[in-house]
Amino acid sequence: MFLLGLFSGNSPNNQGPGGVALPSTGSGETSGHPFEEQRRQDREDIVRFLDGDGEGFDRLMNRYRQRAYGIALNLTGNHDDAMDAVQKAFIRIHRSLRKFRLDEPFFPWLYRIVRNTAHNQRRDESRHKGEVPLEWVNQSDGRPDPLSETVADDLRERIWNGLQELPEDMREVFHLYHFQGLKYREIADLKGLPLGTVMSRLHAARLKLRQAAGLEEEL
Amino acid sequence: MNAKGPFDPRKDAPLLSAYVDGELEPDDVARVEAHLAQDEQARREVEHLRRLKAVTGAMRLKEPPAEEWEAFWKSVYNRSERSVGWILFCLGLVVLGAWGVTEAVTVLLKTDELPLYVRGSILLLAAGILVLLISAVRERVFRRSRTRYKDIIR
Repeated sequence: MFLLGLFSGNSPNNQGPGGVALPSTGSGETSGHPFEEQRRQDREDIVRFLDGDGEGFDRLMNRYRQRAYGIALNLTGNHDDAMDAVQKAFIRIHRSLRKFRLDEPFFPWLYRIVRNTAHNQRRDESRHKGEVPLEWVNQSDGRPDPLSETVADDLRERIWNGLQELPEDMREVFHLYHFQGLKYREIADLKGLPLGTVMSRLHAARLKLRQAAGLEEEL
Repeated sequence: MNAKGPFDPRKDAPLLSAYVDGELEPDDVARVEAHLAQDEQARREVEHLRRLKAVTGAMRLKEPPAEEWEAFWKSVYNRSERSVGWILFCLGLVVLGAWGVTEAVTVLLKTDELPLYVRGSILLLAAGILVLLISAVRERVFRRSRTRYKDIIR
């Protein structure tokens, strides 16, 4: 019961890893929306690249690299394979960026490429290889204040391993919500799923995670 | 009375997660809250979900260090260059191969040193090998494209 009341509030799911504001993937964006600026930058960089300026591509990829890494990590389960998948995905993006439709949001397009590449990269036997790629947010020493380092590390590891035990469709929705910071509607749009399915998968993922990570007693 | 009817604990359980996430429409919020007011188990469930969300919300994926991204970019360009090299190599090979085959067939057809049935057999043999090669390559490519994304839910 040591975890009760230790964590304040909500998931930072309006932010991406590292607290970076995320672009919207939904179709209902309006002018002046905070994500509109992101889309404008994306378009600008793509046009620069198409005009022969390689820096446009670098800027675009640097903006999305951490998100791409997160997507690949979710599928491959380990750092090395994830980095390898992101490399291959970026090469594919570089080759096929000319086919990208500028009136579409960039993230869903990137998401599909990274996801497919990571699928090819995935080697199930290596899912649990290497260190746990999760960290605590906002704590200078990398853990929530009241927890001892050992307990915090153990919890981090159990949650990561629990996530690896989830069926892929659940893990993916969980990842998109918690680590990519998307809203339900945005996940539904990205995946082409009904909103109710997103809701069901996320709920089922949480129930299974609690079980798989052995958190039933604590949470 | 809400048009969607009262909360059904079996069918509507995912609404509890969406309630915790603040993702419900006002009418569904009303349904969930009416249910929570009556059902202690549901209240406990919501509390569990809140705690789990607080824990997972306090975590994020580690970002690879900056020096790793630098090495990453170099590797991307190296790989990209190599793949361009392979494409050029294959193109050259195809063109040279086509030229070689054309030349060989021309020479074979013109020569009088071999009887006609031997020349015909050589051509048939070469055509057979070519068909087998193309078939094997196509099968390999086709199988790869069919199985590559087999796990992806579209």
